Amino acid sequence: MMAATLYKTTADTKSIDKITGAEIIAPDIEIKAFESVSILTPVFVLAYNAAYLRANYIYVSDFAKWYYITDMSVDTAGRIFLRCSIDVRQTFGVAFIHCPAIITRAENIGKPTLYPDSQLPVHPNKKNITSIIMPETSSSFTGDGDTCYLLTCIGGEPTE
Amino acid sequence: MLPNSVFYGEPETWLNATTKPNADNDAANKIPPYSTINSGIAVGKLSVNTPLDNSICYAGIADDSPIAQLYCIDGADYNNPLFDYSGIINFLWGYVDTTTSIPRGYSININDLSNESETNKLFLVPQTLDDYPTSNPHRYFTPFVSIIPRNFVLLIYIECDTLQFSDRRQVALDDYINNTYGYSPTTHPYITAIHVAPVASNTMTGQRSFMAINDNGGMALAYNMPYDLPQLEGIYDYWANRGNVKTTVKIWGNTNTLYYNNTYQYINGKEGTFNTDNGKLTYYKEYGDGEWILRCVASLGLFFAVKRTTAYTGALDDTDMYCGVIDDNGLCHGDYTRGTDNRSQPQYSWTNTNDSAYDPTAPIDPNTYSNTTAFNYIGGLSSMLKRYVLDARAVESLGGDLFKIGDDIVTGESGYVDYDNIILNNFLTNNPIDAIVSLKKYPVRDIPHTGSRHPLKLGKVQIATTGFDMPYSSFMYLFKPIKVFPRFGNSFLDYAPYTTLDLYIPFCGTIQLDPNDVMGHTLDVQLLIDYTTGNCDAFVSCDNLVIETVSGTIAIDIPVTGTESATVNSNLTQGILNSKSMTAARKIAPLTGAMKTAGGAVAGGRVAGPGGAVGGAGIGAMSAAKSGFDSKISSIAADYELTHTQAPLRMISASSPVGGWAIDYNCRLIITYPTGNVINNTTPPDFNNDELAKYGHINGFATLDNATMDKYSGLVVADAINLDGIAATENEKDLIRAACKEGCYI
Repeated sequence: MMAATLYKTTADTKSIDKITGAEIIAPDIEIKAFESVSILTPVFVLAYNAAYLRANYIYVSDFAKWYYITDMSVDTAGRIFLRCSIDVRQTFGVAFIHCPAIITRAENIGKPTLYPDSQLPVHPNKKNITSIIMPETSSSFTGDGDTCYLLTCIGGEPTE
Repeated sequence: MLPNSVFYGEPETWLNATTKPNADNDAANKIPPYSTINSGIAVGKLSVNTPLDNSICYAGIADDSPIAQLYCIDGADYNNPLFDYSGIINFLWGYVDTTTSIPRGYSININDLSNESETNKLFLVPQTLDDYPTSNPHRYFTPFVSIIPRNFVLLIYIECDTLQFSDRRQVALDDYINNTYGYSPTTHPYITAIHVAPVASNTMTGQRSFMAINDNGGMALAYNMPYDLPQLEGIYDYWANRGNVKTTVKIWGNTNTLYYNNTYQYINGKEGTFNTDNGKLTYYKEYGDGEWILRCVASLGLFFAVKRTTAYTGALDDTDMYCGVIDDNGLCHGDYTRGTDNRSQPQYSWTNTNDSAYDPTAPIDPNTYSNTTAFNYIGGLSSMLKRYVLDARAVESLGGDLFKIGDDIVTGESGYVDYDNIILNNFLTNNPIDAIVSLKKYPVRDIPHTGSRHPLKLGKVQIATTGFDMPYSSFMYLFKPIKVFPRFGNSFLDYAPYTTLDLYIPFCGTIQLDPNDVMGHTLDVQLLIDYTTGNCDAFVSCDNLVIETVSGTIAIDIPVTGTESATVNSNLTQGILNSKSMTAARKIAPLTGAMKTAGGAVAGGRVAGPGGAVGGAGIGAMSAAKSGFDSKISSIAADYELTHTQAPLRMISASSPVGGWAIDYNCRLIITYPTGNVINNTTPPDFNNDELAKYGHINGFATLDNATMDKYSGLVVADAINLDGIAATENEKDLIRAACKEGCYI
């Protein structure tokens, strides 16, 4: 016999905290392993209770691990079979978020960065166009100037 | 670079360099726990002639620095000093204390800036050094293993002397400039040494004050000296100040007055002069504007000040705070910044000197880098060219004047051709149209010119048309600089290939700029008009560094047509000669005819008797008359030719198109930028909208950071993670790695 707590969580799979806000369906109930089980994808057996069928998440105290309930089945003997899959985010998240890593994406950056983001929905072809004027500072250029002819000659006294 | 922990101990074990109460550990300069120093031979001991480890040096002194040169003076042969320009690639700040009283006391009155007495100095903590071999000259040197720039500001002192080298004084440069104590550039113009005094603190908010080093202190080399000079082998302390005033460190000049009988004294610094008056050998340089002193101190790569109050309390970007510039190789050449420009220096943002990336053992990039492009003044183009600025009316007048060249030549007093005038004034290629090189119109409101309007002189001929002298061969026109501002928060969207930049330059066309080069920088265009050729060159600068040049044609050639006077003169000259010849022929023609008449009579008589004589005379007379008539006709024809020579024309240049004039006369940066669902199509694009936030929540924003995931929040994706210390099975670790790649909401 093992102790477990059933939850109904609405948190996203990627969350490392699926318990905050989760509904406890059944605290500290007894479960059994169904035959020989893996700790990654175990199958547990527990006595039938209609309320249990609402659960989608389970904490197994003996394993000290959190599992998704990926499938349920009920047999005629009044047992519920919970097919589970380990949630490493909930189980190890508190620890591994302190491990050195190469971070490639993050939400709280808040805006695109200098690193190209191929997932950002940008039109491949359509672009906008605008311009910035850089005026000639002395306003010297004009098509109808007055003293705007330059005669270059040889002879006389050179200019320089 | 990180200090060698084997040699200097782990950073956690470093000691504060002062014992000031309430010292802030994060703000104090650090010294190593000397008992753990390992030279590589014996723990806790420095070996004889073993250099200090070089991992705590934050910068080097380049060989072109004004303090790089080391003189070695042999008193017996002082006229031939040995010297070396090797530069100092690795030096340490530190102090030497042999008194071993630990720790030293500390007191300071922060309200008394003028009090520099011993009790108000910031003391360093000496360590027990008894175990060090006495033969190691560096045995007592305790280096600063970590220096906080804000808390290690150098105040400049100088040694000065009179013109007679009779009154050598040491004084703060601030006091020297202000003549506080009667030693000033006027009374003591010769600088014989430059010192710096580290002014330090161990809090980030407290006032800085002098560090007092009881015995010796200063700077030391952390490697075997490269110099092949006598008595330097095994000596590592280079500029240590031997128990002198105010714990200053001498960085330029000789340590003490040198006498002839001293052997092997050392003088540091360039550009000085030796003086041998009064039986002493003095190395000195005139104060001048003092700029060279700042360059000497800047070579140390730290913040420094001339004013005492700035050294005590000034912020690193204070108006009177200076900062030595460290180049990309980590070397100092003597350049410096001042005031807010200090913010651009890496030292400004260093937490401590260990943040420096300088590696004394790394190969040195031999190139000198510059972020500016110099423009040269174009002058002295001595030539035979003369330029006139004309207005439209003058151009019309010029067109007429060029056809008047023949008008004045038929003006003899008697109404005949004035040959002499023609020959003297117009014969030898005095041709106005030949003197014209070009006539161009520029799209310029007012071509730069000087003086007042005056008649033009084309070659030798002065004509009625007037214009202005134009003394410039070229002229630079400036366009208002712009900062190429990133419209998408300086993200990848602001760069290629998402954003493209084209620059239209009037008269030169449009060029493509790489957004990766210019985004966030100031773009500047200068247009140089060559007023000789009519071409122009545009220089496109990014933060004062020219990155593109492009050429164009700005002037329109105006065809000029005028009398080709050389040919006119040639024709006229030939005509004159013909006329003269024909006139002479006309005058002698009757005589010739009479002779021919007599000859005819003789011939007739001989042939045909009297009748023959008559007949012969008649034929001769007719021939003579015809000859005279012909001469007359030829003479008239020659005169006619002379006075009716058709003036040939010559044209200068051909007309050129005006297409370049039809578009904008201003530069224009043309920007194409992306659109998308999360980028609202507004100007400027709305970059902070709900769609972008939703995107970030689902996908996260791209980054590349070597960090832990808990540094971020929301969705975090890690492509690689080190799971050391995680108590999980290998399969679980594989799942963790996969989960991190997929992303976790934290």
